[in-house]
Amino acid sequence: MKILKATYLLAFLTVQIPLLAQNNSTNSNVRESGSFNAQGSIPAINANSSSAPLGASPGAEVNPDGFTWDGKSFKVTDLKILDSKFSAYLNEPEISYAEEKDYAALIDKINEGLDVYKIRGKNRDLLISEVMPLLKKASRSTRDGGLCRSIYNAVGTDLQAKDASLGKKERLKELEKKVESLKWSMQLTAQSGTLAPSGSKAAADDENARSVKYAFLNDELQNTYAEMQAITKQDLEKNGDARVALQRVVVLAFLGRRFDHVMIGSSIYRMMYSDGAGEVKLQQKLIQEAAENAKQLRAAASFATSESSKSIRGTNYRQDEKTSSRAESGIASVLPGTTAIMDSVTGAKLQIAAAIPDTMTELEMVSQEAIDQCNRYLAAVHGHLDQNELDNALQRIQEAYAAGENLACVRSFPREKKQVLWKYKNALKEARTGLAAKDLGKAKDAIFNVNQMTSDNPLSKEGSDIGNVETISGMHLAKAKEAASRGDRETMNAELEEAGKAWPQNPALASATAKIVDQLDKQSQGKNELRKLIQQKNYKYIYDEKARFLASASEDEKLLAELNEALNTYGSALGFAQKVEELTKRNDYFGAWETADEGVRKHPENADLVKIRSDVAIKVPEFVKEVDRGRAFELKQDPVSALCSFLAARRLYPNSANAKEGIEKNTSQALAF
Amino acid sequence: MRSGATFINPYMLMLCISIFICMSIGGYFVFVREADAFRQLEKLDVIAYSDSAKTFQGGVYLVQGTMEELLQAKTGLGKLVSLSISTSKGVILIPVLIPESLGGFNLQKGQSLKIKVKSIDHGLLVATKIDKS
Repeated sequence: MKILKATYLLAFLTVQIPLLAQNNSTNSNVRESGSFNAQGSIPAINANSSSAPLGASPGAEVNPDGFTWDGKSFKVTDLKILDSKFSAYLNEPEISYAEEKDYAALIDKINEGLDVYKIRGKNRDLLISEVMPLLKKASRSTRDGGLCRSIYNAVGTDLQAKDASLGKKERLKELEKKVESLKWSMQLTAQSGTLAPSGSKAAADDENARSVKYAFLNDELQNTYAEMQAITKQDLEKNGDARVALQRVVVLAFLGRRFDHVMIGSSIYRMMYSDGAGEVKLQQKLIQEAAENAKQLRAAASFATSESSKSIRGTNYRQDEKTSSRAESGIASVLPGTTAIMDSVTGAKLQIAAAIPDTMTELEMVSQEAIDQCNRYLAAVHGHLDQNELDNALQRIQEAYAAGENLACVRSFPREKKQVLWKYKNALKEARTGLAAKDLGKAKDAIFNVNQMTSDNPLSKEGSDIGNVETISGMHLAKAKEAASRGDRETMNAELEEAGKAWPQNPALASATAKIVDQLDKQSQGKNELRKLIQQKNYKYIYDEKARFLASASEDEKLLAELNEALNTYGSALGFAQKVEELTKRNDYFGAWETADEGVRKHPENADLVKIRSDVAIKVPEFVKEVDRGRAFELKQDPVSALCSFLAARRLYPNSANAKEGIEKNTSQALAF
Repeated sequence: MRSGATFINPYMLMLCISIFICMSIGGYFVFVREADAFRQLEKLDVIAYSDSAKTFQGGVYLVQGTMEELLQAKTGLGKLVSLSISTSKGVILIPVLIPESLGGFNLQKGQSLKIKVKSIDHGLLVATKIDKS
């Protein structure tokens, strides 16, 4: 049971000065929350979640303000302080071996001097002659931090109390003699000293005189007893205070994990006081103090006061003693928050006190266990470093630091090795930060660095999973691009969202999104431009930019149909132009003009055809003139004149389709009378 | 020998001469007077006509040209043909309707024709008399 309790106490101490957190790689929630998975989600790494204390991983509950472990809550700010402390430790130079050696030798010498068998029967003399000078010397060391001075002062207080009690014992002896004398006098006073007959006046006077004298003696006797009791009580209290003072020093050293000093203090205590194991009743004391404080506070805040007086009969006088007391009457405190504050302070003290061993022996045992454990941790750290297992080495040194921050083995750990661990800790922190922020690029690089540094990379799984997430994000991006090219905004947005969820900081995501949006903007602009061009019948430009406009109009069926019509129209005009070109090459200018004219009539918007027709018209002016005249007569409803013109045209170009058409049409009109 | 009996009978001679004279007069009326009828017609100003046929509406003109082609034949109405007419501005083609009422004419391309025409609606020339020259 003792061992179990000691283990628990060590764990408690470890948690009270926990470490830090971001280095506790195996405890990281990265693995538990896990989760790089097939859907491409990055493990939910809370920046605080990795801040569990040593060995706290199994039951740690992480919340936004910190975490709860083993029923205790730790704030993020606490963890930051602890992490800063550990980081400072990794960067500070180790204490020189010479300095450490001197101080350790002194401590050893003190402990040796306090060996229970060696000091048997010599107690105080040995303490004063051997240990106290050593304590004084050790207190001057920079490594000591004033602890040896505290022990020295506590022992001094006790010695002063015991010196003072010697004088009080002399006074007690005097008072004992006085009591004996008073008892004798009272005995004599009780006996009658007159020979007068009973009932006579002389006998009555004698009786009255003896009665008065007896009363005086009785009062004096009571006063003497009271003085003796007061001296005894004062002596006991002073001795008790000195003992408690030493206990407090030892307990403080224990809470400060100064286990060497716990060993010294408890040894001294055991030697000085006869209560053996040295029961530490901090809880009771705390409860008593709290009750007393509460009582005082209530009294100070109460409304009602009451006064009472009582008369005490003295020897020959009346002494009126007036006492005033404040009675609590239910009562609204004028300081309503104070009680709550005191309760919380007391509660915190009790929480700590509950974990402190009940006896000095237990304190000593736990301290010894802590020292041994730290030595084992440090040995393990050296072993892990030799095998380049930095993660395990970092964990072990954290545990050693948590348990025995001030022990020689921890303080003297070489700075070069601490620097190696410090660099590893930073690399690990960077990787975790990257993972927590889902900045996979950063995390990937950092994990690579960690992998280069150590052979027991705790983030190797996350490193592999990053590749999967990158692939998944890339696939979603590709789908988004494909959807954008189709003009499917809904799918595009959904895919972009998925890609963002998988890897928010994906550098390709921002550029791809910008491109897609730009593409969509261009599509939108392209559609507007296309509508305008169709309205203007600028088919040539549409035809020249058909690839762009086809992409723009791909999502708009109506616009796409209009675009196709425009392209067909322009294609047809282009066909006329090509035909004109061919006929011109064959010197068939009449045919060329007629073809160009037909093209212009079908595609009046086509400026190229108009120009071509004009160019060819120069070659056959008479024919063109007759055809134009014929058309003009048709407009004037003069079919006979039109017929004359078309006949003339056909005479010039017998194959003329225009002439043939005009002749047929106007012949019928001329005969329609 | 009666020489008088062998001479030409004066009466017969007179009769022959009379017949000759009558025939000449008849021939004059038949041939010369007919030819004089085309001569009295106003020749159509083909250039002006081709520029504005409507303005010739209601007039009777002489058209002399070469048969070019049959543009359309319409039962009950006749044949619309084109005549090629030489002018100062070159050859001009004009349409002329040969109505059925003029009887069957064998019109062939290249035939020279002298046609009396009347301009009707739209200025369309309708032949009223045709002479193949």
